[in-house]
Amino acid sequence: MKTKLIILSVLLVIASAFSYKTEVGKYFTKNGKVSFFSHTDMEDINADNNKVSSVLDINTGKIAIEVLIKSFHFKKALMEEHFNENYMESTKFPKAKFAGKIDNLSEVNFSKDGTYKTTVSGNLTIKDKTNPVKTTGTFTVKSGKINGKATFKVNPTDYNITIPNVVKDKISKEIEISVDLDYEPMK
Amino acid sequence: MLKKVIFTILILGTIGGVIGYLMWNKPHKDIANTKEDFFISATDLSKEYNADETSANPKYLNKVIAVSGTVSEMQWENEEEPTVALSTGSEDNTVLCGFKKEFLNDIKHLKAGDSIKIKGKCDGINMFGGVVLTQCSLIIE
Repeated sequence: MKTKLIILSVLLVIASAFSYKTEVGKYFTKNGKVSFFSHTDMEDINADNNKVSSVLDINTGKIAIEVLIKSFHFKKALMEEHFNENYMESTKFPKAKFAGKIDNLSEVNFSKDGTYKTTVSGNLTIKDKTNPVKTTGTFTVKSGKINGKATFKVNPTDYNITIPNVVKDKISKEIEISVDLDYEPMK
Repeated sequence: MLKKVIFTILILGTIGGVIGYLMWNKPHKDIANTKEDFFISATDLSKEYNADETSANPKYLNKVIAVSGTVSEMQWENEEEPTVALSTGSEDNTVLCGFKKEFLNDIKHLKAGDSIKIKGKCDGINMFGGVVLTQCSLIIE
C-alpha cells in the first residue's frame, strides 16, 4: 500500500512539473507599444499605439502580435482621420497582425537576466496583404519579465496603401515601425 | 475689372488658407463631452463582442461608448496610456479602457472592486477577447 502511495505521489509531482513548464513558457502583453514614423523634407508624421496585444512562447520562440489600427493616436486629428479613413480603411481592416518566431532561439537564455540580440522573421498582415518580414530585435530579461524591442521599415505600397499624388511628398516611401513590448508570464 | 478679379482671388485664397489652417489644426473630438452612442455594461459589451466580432464591429467600432463596470485591475506599466481594466464575468478577458497620460490624476485613486462608469471610443477587440476603448474619461455623477 505504501509503495503504491509513493508511486502515485511521484507521478503526481512529475505531472505537475510538466504542467508548470507549459505555463511558464508563455508570456503576454495587452499594453504593448507600436509607433510609426515617416520623415520627409516637407513633414514628419508619427503615431503611437499603446494597446498592442502579443504572446511570446519562450519554448518555441513563436511570437504573435495584434495591433488595433484605431488605437493609433496622432497629435493632429486630421492626420488620424486620413490615416483611418483613407490609408488604412480601418473600419474594413481593424487589425494588423504579425506571426513569426525568433530565428536564433538557442542563443537566448530567457531564464537568465540579460540583453539578447536576435533576428525575428515572420509574416506581417496589414489590410488584406501579407508579406514576409525579417528584422533584428532585442530581448531584455529582468526579474522574470521580458521586454522585446524591434525597429524595421515597411513600404506602404506593399500593403495596398495608396498615397494620393497630392500628399506624395509629405509621406515617406518607407515608414519606420518601432515595437516595444513588455511581457509578463501567463498565469 | 482686373483689379476686381485679383481682389476676389486674393480674398478667396485667404479664406481657403484660413480654412485649410483651421482644418489642419483642428482639435481631436472631445470624447468626454460627446453624448455616447451606447450605454452598456462591461459584461454585456464583452459578451456581445466575443460571441460575434463580425457583427459587433460595425455596431461599435469608432463609436463613443459609456461603459459601466467593476474595476478588475489598474494597469500603470505603460505610462503613455494608463489603463483601467473592467471585469466581464469571464476570467480570460476584461474591457480595457485607455486614458491619456494627462488624465492619470483622475484615475489614480481607483482600485479593484470599484464600481465606475467610463466613456471612451471603441477600437475593437484584442487577441485575448478584451474589448479595447481609448480616449477614455471617467464619468462622474
